[in-house]
Amino acid sequence: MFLALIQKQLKLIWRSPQELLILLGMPIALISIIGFALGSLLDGNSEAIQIKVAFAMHEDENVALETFVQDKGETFGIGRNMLPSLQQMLPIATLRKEVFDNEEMTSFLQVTTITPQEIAKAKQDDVYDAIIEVPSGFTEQFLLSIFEQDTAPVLPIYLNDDKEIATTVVKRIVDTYQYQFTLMNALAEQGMIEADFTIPIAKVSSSIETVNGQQPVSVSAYYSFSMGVMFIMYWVGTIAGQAFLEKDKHIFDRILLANINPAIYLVAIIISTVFLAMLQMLILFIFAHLVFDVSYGPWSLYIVTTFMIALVVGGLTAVLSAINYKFNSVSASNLFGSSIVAILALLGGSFFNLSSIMPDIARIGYFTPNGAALQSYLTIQQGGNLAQIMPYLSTLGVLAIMFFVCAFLVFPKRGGIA
Amino acid sequence: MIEVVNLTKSFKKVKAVNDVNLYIEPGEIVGLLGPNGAGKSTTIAMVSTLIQPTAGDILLQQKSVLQHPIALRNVLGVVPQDIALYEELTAQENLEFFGSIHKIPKRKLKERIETVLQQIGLQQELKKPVKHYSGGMKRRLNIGVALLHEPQYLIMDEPTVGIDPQSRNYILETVKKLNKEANTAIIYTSHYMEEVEYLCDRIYIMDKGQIIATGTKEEIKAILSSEKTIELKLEKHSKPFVEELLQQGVLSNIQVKESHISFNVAKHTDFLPIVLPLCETHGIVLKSFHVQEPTLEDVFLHLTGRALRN
Ligand SMILES: Nc1ncnc2c1ncn2[C@@H]1O[C@H](COP(=O)(O)OP(=O)(O)OP(=O)(O)O)[C@@H](O)[C@H]1O
Ligand SMILES: [Mg+2]
Repeated sequence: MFLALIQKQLKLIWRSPQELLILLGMPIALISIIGFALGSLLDGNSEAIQIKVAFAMHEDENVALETFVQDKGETFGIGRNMLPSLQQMLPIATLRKEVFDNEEMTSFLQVTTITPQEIAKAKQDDVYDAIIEVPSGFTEQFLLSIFEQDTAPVLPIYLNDDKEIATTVVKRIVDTYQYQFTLMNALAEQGMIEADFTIPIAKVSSSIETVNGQQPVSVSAYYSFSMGVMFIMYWVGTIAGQAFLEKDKHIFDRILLANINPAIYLVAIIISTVFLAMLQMLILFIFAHLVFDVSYGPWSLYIVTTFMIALVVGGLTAVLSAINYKFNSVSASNLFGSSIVAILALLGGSFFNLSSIMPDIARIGYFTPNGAALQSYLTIQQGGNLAQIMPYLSTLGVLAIMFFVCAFLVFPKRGGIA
Repeated sequence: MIEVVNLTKSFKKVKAVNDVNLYIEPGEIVGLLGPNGAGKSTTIAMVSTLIQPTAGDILLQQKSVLQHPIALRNVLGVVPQDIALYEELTAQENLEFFGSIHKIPKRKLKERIETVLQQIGLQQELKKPVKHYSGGMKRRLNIGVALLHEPQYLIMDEPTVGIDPQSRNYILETVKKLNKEANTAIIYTSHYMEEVEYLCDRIYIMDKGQIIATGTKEEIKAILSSEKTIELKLEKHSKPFVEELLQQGVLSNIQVKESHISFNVAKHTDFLPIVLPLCETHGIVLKSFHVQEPTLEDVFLHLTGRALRN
């Protein structure tokens, strides 16, 4: 009997193409659009995003080169006449030429040179999306790595992990730059580019860390989660609307006449919604994995988070169904589907991360069901464990219980015309 | 036996049902006849335990069901006035769903569905979503769903509204057969007096929330049996003629439609000696006249001064 109620609900959803389109088609389309748009950003086709990068040097590359030639020139057989050629292959010069001064890059990359003393303040200020730091001894280490086969120097990059999208872009740029740099050297080694002399292989490895020492989240992953937690909320309006239709068409009367307790009916609504919502997220996650190569760490944490947000969605659906029944109108759940979801999505950070623009509002967002779930997913993506997502899970748990209680209090105990 | 005692339902502004008494015994067909807004559906909703009455009681075998509706629900089938079906599901799926929520075991349900489909004459297109059905087919399925748990009593709220005459006849036959073969007691609600007259053993006539007449159709017609209806056809309409006719005092319920005039007189009144002199005085030719036996429609007209349908 109980199963029949749930089975019926699944069939109804399966038979309504428009609902399926909103619940599955739309998020997939949006993730794709955003994913590809941000992907092409790296080819310089988009000006949608402005990324602010701070660039700090602890040493002047050219001065360091001259010092190097003066001190160790004899040892490695380098004369002053080779200075111009060497200058051209210095990594920072290349970085400036290839990236910072690149016309395509400058359309969305805004580089500010700061002094090393300003680094600490820059990290705190939240102004920059990324800070690239050239440590002292970087040039010498680089030259040594060429002439002595020493280890390649490290270029530290600090990413502001409050600005996921931007930092991901920066990481991609640096990776590309590094790739090109290595490639150029490899080509030189093969004698495929003209040089005054053959340059031994050199590598610059950039060590990327976020300010909190976490891994950054890729753009596609970010939008997969944020679209997921937004579209999961659409179940509320959809299912509560269907539930009202059952009242309006006196199907609910038939259910009551079959001696089914209204509470059981409500529980069936909740369980079907939880099931459908989890299924939706599963499909989105698989899609993100197959198409955008989003990878997931500990799946159990994802399941727990998904289950909790689905519970909240189930609870909200029950509340809206109860309100629809009480006021004999579908306007409450329609309003939810048309406006409240969008507001929640905005607050919860589904469109863009609010924390850098309006930190106070962003904090409210953590208490929206979708916001809490999104934070939980992002934390797991960054290598967080159960303890770290606990605050978000608790928020979701409290919300779910609250909604269940409200729903059962409001839901009418009888059917009929009144 | 189901009994309804002094049943009243008030909504904010209207008293939809006002002190209604009625009963139905196993195996009989009872008609509930009344115009739009009479309070039929509200009465039915209370009898089916779906809304609480403002006052009064509903008894099943002398026990009130208001606090414990389960006993009544188990023996009661309800065919709502609206098509209470899932339009996206097929007939088969609808029957399976409503059967399952009645906790009919799987194997039994399969048998029941077969039987019901036979009863309502719906054996084709079972795999088509209900939304693609004709109005008549939907109505039949709407009835079928209420029969799955083999109810002893069946309440039907205007089951023939908005369908073609053929489907309507089919449904009337189905109701008759259901009563004969399965001995199901039926409360049949309608505003078509022909339907009620054809089907029902006893009839309640309802208007403005109240039962205004009750009994077998013979008994109800006997309300008018002391009267007969006379129809006159005149050569032309004449206002002074009608006015003088009214002054005679022995006539009631005069209806004038241009040159057609109808009125009621006491059964043994000789009406021609009244009418003919009047015709002469006003210079009007009486083309024909017709004496009519009363119908339920006339009874309703007599009791309320209004026609059952407009
Ligand atoms: N929920 C309600 N709230 C307020 N008034 C109501 C409600 N339900 C019914 N009424 C009123 O009660 C009266 C009786 O309505 P009801 O539906 O019982 O009539 P009915 O005899 O079934 O009419 P119909 O032939 O049109 O179905 C009407 O005046 C109607 O407007
Ligand atoms: Mg009605």
